[in-house]
Amino acid sequence: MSTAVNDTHVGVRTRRQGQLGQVMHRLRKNKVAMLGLVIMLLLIAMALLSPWIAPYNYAKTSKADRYASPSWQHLFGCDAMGRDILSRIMYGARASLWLGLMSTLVATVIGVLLGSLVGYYGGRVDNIVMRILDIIQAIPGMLLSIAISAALGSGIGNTILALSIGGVPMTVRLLRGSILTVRKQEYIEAAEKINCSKWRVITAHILPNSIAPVIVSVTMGIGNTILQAASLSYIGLGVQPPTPEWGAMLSEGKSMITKYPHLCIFPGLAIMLVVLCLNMLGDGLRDAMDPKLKN
Amino acid sequence: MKKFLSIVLVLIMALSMASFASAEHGASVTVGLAGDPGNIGPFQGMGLGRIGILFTTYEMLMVKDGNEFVGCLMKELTPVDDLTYDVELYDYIVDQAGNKLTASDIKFCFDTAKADGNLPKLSAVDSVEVVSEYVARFHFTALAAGDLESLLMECPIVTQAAYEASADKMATDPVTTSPYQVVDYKTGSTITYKRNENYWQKDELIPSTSKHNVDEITFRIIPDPVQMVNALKTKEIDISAAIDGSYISDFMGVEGFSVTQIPDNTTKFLTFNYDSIPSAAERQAIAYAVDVEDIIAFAFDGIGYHAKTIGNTKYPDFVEKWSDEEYYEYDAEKAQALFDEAGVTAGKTYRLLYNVADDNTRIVTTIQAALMDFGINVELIGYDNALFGTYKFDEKNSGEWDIMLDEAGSSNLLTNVWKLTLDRRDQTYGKTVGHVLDDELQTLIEAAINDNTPENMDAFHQYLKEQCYEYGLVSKVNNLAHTTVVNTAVTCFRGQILPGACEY
Amino acid sequence: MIRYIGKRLLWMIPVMLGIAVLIFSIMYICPGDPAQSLLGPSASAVELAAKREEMGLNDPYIVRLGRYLYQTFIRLDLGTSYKFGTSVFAGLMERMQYTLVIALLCMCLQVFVGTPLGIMAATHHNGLWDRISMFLALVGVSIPAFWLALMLVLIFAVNLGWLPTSGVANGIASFILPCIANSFAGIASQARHTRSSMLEVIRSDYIVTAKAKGLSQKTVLFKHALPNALIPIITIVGNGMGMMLGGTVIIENVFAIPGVGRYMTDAINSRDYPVVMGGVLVLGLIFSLIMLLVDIVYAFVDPRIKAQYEGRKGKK
Repeated sequence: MSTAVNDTHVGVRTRRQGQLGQVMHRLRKNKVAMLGLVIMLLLIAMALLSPWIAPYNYAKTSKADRYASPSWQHLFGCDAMGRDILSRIMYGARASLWLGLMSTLVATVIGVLLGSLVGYYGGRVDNIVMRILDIIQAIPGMLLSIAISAALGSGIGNTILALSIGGVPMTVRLLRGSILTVRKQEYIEAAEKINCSKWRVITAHILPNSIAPVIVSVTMGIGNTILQAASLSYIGLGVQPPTPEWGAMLSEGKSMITKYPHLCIFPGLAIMLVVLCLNMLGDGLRDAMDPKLKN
Repeated sequence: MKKFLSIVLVLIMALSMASFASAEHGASVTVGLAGDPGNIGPFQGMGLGRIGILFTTYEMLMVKDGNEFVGCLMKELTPVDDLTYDVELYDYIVDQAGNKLTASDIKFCFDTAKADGNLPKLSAVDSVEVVSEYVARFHFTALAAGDLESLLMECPIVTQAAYEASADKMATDPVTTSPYQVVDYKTGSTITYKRNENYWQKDELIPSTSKHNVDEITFRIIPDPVQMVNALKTKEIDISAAIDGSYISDFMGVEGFSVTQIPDNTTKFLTFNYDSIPSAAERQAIAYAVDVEDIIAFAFDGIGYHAKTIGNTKYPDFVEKWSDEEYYEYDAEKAQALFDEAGVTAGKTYRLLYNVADDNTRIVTTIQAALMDFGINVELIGYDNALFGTYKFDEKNSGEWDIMLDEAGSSNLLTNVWKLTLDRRDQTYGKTVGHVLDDELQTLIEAAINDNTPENMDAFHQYLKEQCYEYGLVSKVNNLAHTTVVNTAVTCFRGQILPGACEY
Repeated sequence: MIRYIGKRLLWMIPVMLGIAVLIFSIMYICPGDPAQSLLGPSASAVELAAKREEMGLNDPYIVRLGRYLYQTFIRLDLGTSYKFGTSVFAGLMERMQYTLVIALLCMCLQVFVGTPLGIMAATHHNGLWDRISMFLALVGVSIPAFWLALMLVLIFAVNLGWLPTSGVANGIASFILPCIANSFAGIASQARHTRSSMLEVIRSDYIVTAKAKGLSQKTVLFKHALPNALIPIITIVGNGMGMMLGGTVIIENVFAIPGVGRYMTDAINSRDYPVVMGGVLVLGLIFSLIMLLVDIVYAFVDPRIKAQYEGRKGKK
């Protein structure tokens, strides 16, 4: 089914590509995924360059401009304190993208490691790890965050920890489910018989065939993660004013949503854009890893 | 024929007069409630949801009607000596289950309330003695000015028989002497009251908190403020809880609705941490640097008043002349001069502790922006209600903040508002909440508490103003919007609507 | 299989104990004062300290843990809410009615709208239908729930007046808007997972074989493809159901529904320890049972998984 090494002949010369190289190559050819990647990179660039390219200082308040509707001076309008929303979105990308992407990454890595372990070894390991996950999942996320904040203090690292813990159990369950199916297939047994190392069996054979649902779930979840970051500011984690953050902007604009919808629309669109791009990329990644699409 | 007709006419007149009489009673009203009252038993603490339904559910010995204290269950108050008073009840009080209310019930209520410990003010009541069937003698441990009436209002009264008959200590089904009885309580959702036909008190003697102009009251808990406004717009509720200033325009001057603006009895103020800001000049500088008009504009949509002390003008012991006094109005030059005097240079950072809520966040952001003009950074430290309550008083945490945004109010006197944070006898570690150990401050506040003459009040006020240990910011105003089912909205002293007292 | 189920049920006991100890410890180290919530904002420091003493909050950890474990597991008493004064269990059951209605309705919407959408997208891979439905799914997942909810209220309740804005007073009409708002993300997620799963299966050998054998599209789809694609779908449904029974705070807040989510969140915010601990235990139990159900369904759907449950004889 899937072979470890692929020789492509180009005339006389032979290029050997590792499996990772193959996946990357297929990914690059996927236009939609590349579009997603490009937009994502543009957003990251915008975040990094925001102090220079934002039209206004994100903290500058103005009594006269309170709730100003979008206009040529303020493309996205102004918020409850007269601050320019476009500038706040640009600067807010820093906190939101960093928190969102890092927590998603951390949750995915931990989840995949645990899930692979559990799915592959099964039996006792499976039982114990899954029961521990049951216990952790019973605790409401907010409480876990408060506990983390109380035990470990505040700061970006702990915020990321608090945000990622919630995503781990779902990732593990999805991966475990897939692995349970794939595990018993003939090619896996074949690989084991020829004394492939366990690590290789997992990474080269099992994971590519079972990781798809994880990718789908994880790329969809980033929007939620960004929104959750807003509620963390109530317990000392997360971001404090006046530093903008998309989730916090949505929360602040919530009470005026029927009167001044532009307060919520633009941060919401920003979050949607990130989710869209990540999903395009994720779909591309999943297609690239699916060996049945190889040609 | 004529005789017949005239009888019919008389009958018609009589009937219409009868219906006219009962038309004075509205049929039913639905009120929006923002907070969840939780346990509606008589001896629970004063949470935010509870104050909305307190006077509809219970009656007390005395109540505050407008600005005055009047007797409700109490007919007469007789001093026996400085710390002993006799309270005489009306002798015809009957609760909703038909039990008569006597002095032994009064003793029972106060004893149980003290034992439960949710109404800590009652520690000033040493004991209650039954002198005769309708007279109870109160022995107090200490009585500061104005305490007597507050204490008599503090404890809701029920009959012992009814309390013991309830399966859950009246947590969901109180039986009281109030004209309204709880007929249905869906926790977290609605509380429905029906008017008691056999209410004991004569119409002309009823205080506003016990008026019963409507037959049925339903309180609806609506946690989301936008939904509160929506529910009023669709007339699912008739009266809303306090709504944000920006929504007033949806109801003021709009057909079918009107808005009543009621000053709230709480004031937002800043407390400075003496340990990190020991210099009075520095504290004054911060006070001058903040433009309270900006705060009112951003956080309260322009509706509110610059406080002149820690408290608003409605308190009876507020001294008139303070309204015209200067109280750290925004003055950039003075602020800069004082910062220089205190040796504060650009780049300094203050940590500002606050309780996270929409309006507080805007207040602190405004303060942050204001101080930024002087090159001073403000690091905002926001916590939710439970955490803020802990950190505010926590000695271990006392080094974690420099300035704190807080709010306070009391049921009767300005001195009681001041006592909450400035009387070091009330704090756990012998200093004020701002960690001030100032004997003169203590002497002055004790003098004002014992005898709140204008002289004593002014002496304390001037000293506090000079030292600027705390700085009053905004006296809040509540906007209550309602449909025209309600002609005149009437509120209790805490600014909460009294549905039974409204005119329909 | 029966042995497997039996073993899992036995395992629930240590899991419950684990949850109890963990939640107790977390509440213990969490700062935040229940006395503050009970006595209100105008209580002084001395009064708060006295109240805490009375509530037994100053006793050492082991003593409080012991008291708690005894009360919960031996006397089977979840305690009384600080805030409501009523039994925690009764409170939970009262709230659960509403949450159950919403969870079931949403789950039905999710399964019966999301799955067909996903199947259609998979069978028309890269076609117009695929792109449109996946885009809609993405929108559905990234729209903040409260935004959707408030927009629905604005249109259907305030402007058109067809439905109530909030509350549970109007029978089934009260649940329409909350369920629609709540299920958007679920439908979207369901559609995407179904599509992803079906795509994997459609391209596998046995499907190609089936098609080559000349079986109709419908048979291929429903008899061969779908059953094999079910595993991730079941995971999502199970997990989703479990989460929804824990209550969706945002929807409950916006629509003023007295459900489990609000009950728990209010309890966490006011540090109502008995409700938080009791609620977590009950919800944890329900969730574990659902996860067990999911694992059992896995076995029915895929005999290979069933074999793994039943024995590791000779296999590694």
